[in-house]
This record gives sequence, C-alpha cells and structure tokens, in this order.
Amino acid sequence: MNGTTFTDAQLDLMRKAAECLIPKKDSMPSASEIGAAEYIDANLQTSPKSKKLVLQGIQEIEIKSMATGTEFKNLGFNERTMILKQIEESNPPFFAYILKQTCNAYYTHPNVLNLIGAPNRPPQPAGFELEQGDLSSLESVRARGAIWRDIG
Amino acid sequence: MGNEKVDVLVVGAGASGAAFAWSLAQSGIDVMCLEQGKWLNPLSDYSTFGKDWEIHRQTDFNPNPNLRANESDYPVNDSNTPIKPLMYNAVGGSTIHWSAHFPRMKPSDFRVKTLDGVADDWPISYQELEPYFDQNDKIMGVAGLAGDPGYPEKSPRQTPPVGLGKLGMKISSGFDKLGWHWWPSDSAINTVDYDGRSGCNNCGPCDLGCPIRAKASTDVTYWPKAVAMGVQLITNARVREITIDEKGNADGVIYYDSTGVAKEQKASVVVMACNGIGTPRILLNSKSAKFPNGLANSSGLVGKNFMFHPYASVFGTFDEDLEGHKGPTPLNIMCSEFYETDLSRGFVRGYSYQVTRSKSPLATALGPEIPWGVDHHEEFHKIFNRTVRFAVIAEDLPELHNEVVLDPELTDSDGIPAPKVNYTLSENSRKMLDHGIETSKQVMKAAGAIEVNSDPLIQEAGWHLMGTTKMGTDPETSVVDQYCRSHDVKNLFVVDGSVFVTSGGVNPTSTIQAIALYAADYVKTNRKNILN
Repeated sequence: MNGTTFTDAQLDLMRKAAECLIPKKDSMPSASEIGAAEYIDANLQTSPKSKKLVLQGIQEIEIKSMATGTEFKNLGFNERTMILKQIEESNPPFFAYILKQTCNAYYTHPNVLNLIGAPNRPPQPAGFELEQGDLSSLESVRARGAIWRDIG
Repeated sequence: MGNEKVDVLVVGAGASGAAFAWSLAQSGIDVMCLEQGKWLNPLSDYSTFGKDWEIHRQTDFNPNPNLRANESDYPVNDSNTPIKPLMYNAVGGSTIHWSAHFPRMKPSDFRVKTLDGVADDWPISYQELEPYFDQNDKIMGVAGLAGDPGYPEKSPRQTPPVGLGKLGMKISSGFDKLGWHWWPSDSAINTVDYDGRSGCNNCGPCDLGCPIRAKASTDVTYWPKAVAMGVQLITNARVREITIDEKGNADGVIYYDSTGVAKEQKASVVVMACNGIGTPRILLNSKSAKFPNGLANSSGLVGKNFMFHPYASVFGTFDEDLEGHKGPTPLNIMCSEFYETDLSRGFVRGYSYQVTRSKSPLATALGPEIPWGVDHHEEFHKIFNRTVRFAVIAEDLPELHNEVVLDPELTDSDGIPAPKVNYTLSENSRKMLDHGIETSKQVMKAAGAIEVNSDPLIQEAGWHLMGTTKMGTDPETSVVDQYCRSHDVKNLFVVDGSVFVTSGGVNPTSTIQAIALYAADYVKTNRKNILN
C-alpha cells in the first residue's frame, strides 16, 4: 500500500535505496521486498520534521546520482551502494533515519522474524519457559570463603 | 488556590519517595507526594503485547528523556558529558524502565577514606542500614540465593533466583574455569508469585515496563500500600521551587499542574526525592534573598560531586544459539571478583560486572556491530541469540568539577530552568573500566566465545545519578547530615541518590531505598521536634 507523502518516483527511489541497505540474500528478502519504503512513507505523515529531512535527502541522492550521468533508479546495485555511502558521509541525520526506519520495518516483519528464528509474536502474554540451570558449581565459589572486605 | 497544609511533602514518586512516604504513612503522619509524571497502566501503557514492541525503545520508552520527550519529561543539557543521563518520569520513576538489579552496596563502600584514602567515609555504615535493606527487600520482593561470599550474610531472599537458562549456564562455566566469583545476584523481580504480584514469565524486555507486575517498580509495590494508608499522591505536578518562611525554614513548594497553572502547597517538612539531577535542579532554582545561591547550599556543594556509574560493555559471540531471548534481559549473574581495592591493578576501589542476555532482533540489527549492505545478513546471523554481554560497572569517585548546574537558557515546558551536566571521566575510572574489559574477555574466552568485542564507555548508560547533595557531619563539606537532613534548613530532607558520598561498584537502588527508609525512621522517631 502506497503512502501519501512520496511521489511515485520518490517511493521508487526509496525502494531502490532500501534494497541496498538490507539486500536480498539466500532465503532472506531485501528490505524493499517486505515494504520498507512504504513503511518509511507512512511514518513521515506523522512527523513534519522527518518529512523535511527525508525529502531533502532524497533530493541529495538524485543530485549525486545525476553527477554520474544516471538517475539513481537506473544505477546498478554497486553504484547505488556507492551513492548511499557518500550520503552516509554528507548527510548523517538523513542516512541514520532511513537506516533505522528500514531496520524497524524489516525486523518487526513476521516473515523476517520467522526466517531469523526469532519468536514471531510479542513477548507477552506467553513469555518463555526458562531453565533454572545448574547451580551446583556455586559450592566451589562458596568454598573459597568470603571475598568481601570485613571492616570489623 | 493551594491545598491545605500537610505535615510532610515529598517531591518525586520514584524509588526513594515511594519508600519514604510509605514508611511515614505507617505512623499516621499526614503525607502528600507531588509527582511530575502520571500513573501508568501496566496493561495498556506498556508495549510488550504489541507487534511493534521493540520500536517503543526509540519513542515513548526511550530511556533518554531528551529523545523520549514525553509530556512529563524535562530536558537535560547533556552536551558536556560523554555519558548521557537516563531517567523516567512517572509514578514509580526510573523503576518503571529499570532492569531491577538489586545488589546492596558493601560494607567497605561506606569507609573508603579510612580504607583507601580516597573521597570521604559515609557518616553511616552498612550495619546501620542493614535493617532497612531487609525491610525494603520485603516490600520490593527480591529474587536471589543465600550464601553469596561476596557479601555479609543476608536475610532469606523472597523468591528463588532468576533462571540461568542456556546462556547463563554457558557463561557461568567461564567463571568456574577461572575459579572466579559469580553468583545469581539479587534482583527485584518476582520469580514466583509474591505479595499479590505475579511471578515473572521470562518474556525478556524489562526495560519496556512489566505488564504483569512481576518486576518491582514502586507504582506496584510501595505506592498501592502507601495510598491505602492515606498518602495523597498528586500526579502531573511539576515542582518549580521550595518556598521559605521568614525564619528561613522550608514552608512548602510552588508547582505547576497539568494545565500549567502555578499552585502553592504548604508543608511542615519538605522531602526531596527527585534523583541526583532533579533534586539539585530544584534546590538551585529555589533562590531567595536569604539563600541567593539556592537552598541548602551554604557549602556550595549542591550539584557538585556528581557521579555516574561509568559502564563498559563486553560482548562475546558463541558458535551456538544460546536462546538469549528467553528470560529477563538482566540475567543477574554478578561477579564481585574485582570489587575490593587491590592497588596492584593500577587503580583504587573496584568494579563488578553484570551479565545480560542477547539483544532482541531489532536491537541487534541497530547495534554498531551490524553493517548495512551486502554483509548485513551474515553479521546479523553471527550474533543474533549467540551473544553474551557484560556490563562492567565501575565505582566512580566524587570530583568537584563533575556537576549539575542550571542551564542559563534551556527550560522545560513550564519555563523552569533545565539542568546541565558537566562531567569528565576520571583516569581512575578509565583504568578500572579497562581492567574490567580485559577480565571480562578472559571469562568470555574461558566459556568458549569465538569472538569478543567491547565498547570502552557506553554512552547511553547514565542510569545512576548520585552525589549532588552529599551526606556528612560537617556543614562546610556536606549538604545533608547523617539523617539526610539539610544542615542549613532543618525541615528539609533529601532522600534520593543525591546524598551518596561515594557510588560503590553496584547498582544503587537498593541502597537508595534503604537510606530513604532509614531517614523516614529518623523523622518518625523525632516527629514532635521535626514536625514542629
């Protein structure tokens, strides 16, 4: 589902960027496949400050891409990654924002949680069974005697 | 319009204010508490039932008040400190998001000048506080195991220790191989039902608030009991200053209610319980012709000697899934091997380390170890659920130049000047952390870690705020006396971590609360004199 902040072109650019931030590998999907760009778009609607940051950052990506003679969306994966590395240096707040939001989208997605072997449910209400564990070796810790400093 | 005058007015409903108010209420003393935050509903205000639970660490449950910026928070200028102050503002204070580590300070901590020639001795001792540690443990509910050779013998713990799980067993084998001390440390978490609260179901993220009330935040321990005994707890009440009468005694406070209207509350005794930053902030803002440098500040020490516990982090990666998400994140194994002074190590005093479980998925991904790009997945899989973390907690010593002052420009939403923290890590603390990193690495390797990394100073770790209204017997070198009573203003008390003379090398909350109960007993015993 498309958000309402990005134009189609901006959304497309963000998809291409998200794909570089968390790429597809083996069974793991890319961030763009699980909807990270749309997630970022949706969140911008409640944050005017972030909206300004992101729209300016997207413009900066385009400017840097055009300096190579090609639009960002038409660059190959490695070239896009190079552009993002430049952006990481030149506009840290924007880069940190899109990276964090991309991770937020990715690591709360049910498919991803399944694939990494994390519980695909919130911590509550089920919680987890936890082994008490073997405390028998504490006997040898105790056998050393007191290690606190007795001040009399 | 103000309210009717009360006997005792407590400012702050966190760890210490709750204990103090509860204790006084037992004697039928008329107590009111003003809290700038609100009551939280564990079932509806905490995020751990929701799919997006991890994201709340970045928003309304961010431990940094500047980043969280809830309505109840005030900003802290942290531009001049490498460690960022953390706190929570609500009924329960920072016990809402704490990890519930509950070790007591040790006997030597109260005698550092005599034993090691540094800082000052406390005017009170471990033995004097012991009955109050015990009293506090019963209300908070402590999971632990008797017999720890790192401590004098303690009374029986309320519930069994927090489970080790697979991860805890793995790392304890490292301590055993080295022959070093470890113990399931005291933890203010019910491991089985206790005192009308549930046993922990090992869900994990204690920092996001405990919806089943197994973790002892004071909104579910002390406060329901205190309110039932008649304590008036006023929320959304942000105190601006303490007012004084013509004799120079405290006679109440001025606070802003939730609509921003200034109100006056009169009291016979004022008790500050706002943490090591909030308390000096209000005292310094309580200026008058009689007290031009702030209240209770004839020594000039209000706000000075500010201490954090500097933390280093060491994380070991293992080649197997340690089920690191099962169980309270604070595993609560504690090592006291390097707690007491040994000058051959190159520093004075000591440290402990706490063991924590693996980070949750999103927290792992956002960690500095995980790159973006083509190597992202490989690095993520290498550490997710496979890491053990040690937090090396160093005893910071008091230094005059480490301080809390009022910021000349920054204010909260009611226009009250915000605090500014000026802090530099001392050489002694640095050496202590470096030693802790090296010994932690030895434990990790002995336990079989295939890779060990460290962060020499955790930035977002200013949990413990201490020392800014130092306790002592000499009014020229301390702010409050051995009963937490201001030397200058006899009906003004401070009962939070501000009174700490030194910091110890363990988490402070158990000791903070024991001191609050001890001070409350003094007020009760001397009520005729103090309340008049």
